[in-house]
Amino acid sequence: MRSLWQLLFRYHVFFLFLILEGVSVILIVKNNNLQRRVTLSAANNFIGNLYTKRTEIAEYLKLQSINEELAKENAHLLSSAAPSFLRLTDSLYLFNDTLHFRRFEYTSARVVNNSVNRPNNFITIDKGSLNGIRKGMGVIAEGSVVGIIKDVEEHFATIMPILNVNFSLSVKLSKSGAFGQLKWPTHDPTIATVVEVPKYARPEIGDTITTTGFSTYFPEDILVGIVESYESPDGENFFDLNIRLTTKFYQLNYVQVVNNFMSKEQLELEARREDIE
Amino acid sequence: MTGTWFRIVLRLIFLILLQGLIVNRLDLWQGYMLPWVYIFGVLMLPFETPRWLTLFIAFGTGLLIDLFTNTAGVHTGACTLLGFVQPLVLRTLAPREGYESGQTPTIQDLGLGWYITYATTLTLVHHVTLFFLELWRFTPFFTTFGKALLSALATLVMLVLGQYLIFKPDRRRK
Repeated sequence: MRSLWQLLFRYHVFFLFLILEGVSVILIVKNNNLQRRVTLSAANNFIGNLYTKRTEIAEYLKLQSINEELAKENAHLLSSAAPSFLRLTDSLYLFNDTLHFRRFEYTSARVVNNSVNRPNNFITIDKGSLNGIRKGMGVIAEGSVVGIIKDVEEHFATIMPILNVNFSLSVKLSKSGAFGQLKWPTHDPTIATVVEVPKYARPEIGDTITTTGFSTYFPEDILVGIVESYESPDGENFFDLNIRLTTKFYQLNYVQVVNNFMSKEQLELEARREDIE
Repeated sequence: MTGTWFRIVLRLIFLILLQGLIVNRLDLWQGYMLPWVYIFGVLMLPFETPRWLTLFIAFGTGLLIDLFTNTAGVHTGACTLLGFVQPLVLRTLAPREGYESGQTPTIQDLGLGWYITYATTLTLVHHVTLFFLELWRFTPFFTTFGKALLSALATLVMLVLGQYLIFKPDRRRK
């Protein structure tokens, strides 16, 4: 026993090193898993506030492009607002729609931190649980996919964008409707890949890639990217596509978080199916 | 002695904020160069720092940087390794008669050649570990390794230039 203590004392630096490295590895493994809750993240309020301060300064310098973005958004909203439509009935009418159930709701949020050049990029936004943001919601910007909410605090949330090696989403080709998995090969923030597209799909260059609506994250047919090239690894029954992402991750200022009112129902139902199997 | 440690802690905090708020936003060469200048805080620890303390300081620094980059454990791991290796490199590079008291591991006290050897070794150890920990796999190997080397170069240039900018050129070397 004494010699054990002597050994421990003699190599205490090395053992301490091993313990601290062990802690790091546990943190990495936990953080790499989208499903698991992490305690250490940039969603915490202290770092979030620091990032907000910096964004306020930086935003002043970017006012022009932000204005353009907002102007575009305004034009879009105006064109879908009531005055843009011709009313066909002039008598009073009651609109009590029981045929439609509201499925999606959007919350706008400002990006306070964003990176595009790492293998594990993250985006921090200034809306959190108090604004109804929850883990697992989809995030879009100007009608194309940004990522999925990974972690939420009271006032802030972090997004795992497409530009993250741990990101994965099922997508489809618009023309043939064939499915594939969206992945990011870690170099270029404008390019992603769609793997395991079945051979019968016959992809075309220029075809658009959209969301499937299978998952609870996004509505169907939200734009992801445009096919640039495709190849089939020898002897495989699949195509791998290179796609150009439609989201401009470089200049992301405002994003919309998608709240799916039916996600809980769907997830519970699907969990039940797994129980039977 | 208390004054020295006060300065060291202040320097660590300053470097973490500098890294987290400004340097992380630098986009040199489309993400192929990501300087991690915060390791300067660990590189500047005095020769007589006990090894367990170096380890804890490095661990804590990495943890705080991880908070900024949202990569729990990645910087913590790489920086802890840096804290483990730093005293070993110092011992290996020591002059025959040992370090004089009052000397610090800087260009001013030990010369440019010594510093380049010291900083290059440690920066490479840290960056290569960091980039592969972040990727958490070995593919693509050469792109990642290349990124680590280019980033190390950027960090080194910043470390050396930074020292010429910050420290007064009083030469205590004979």
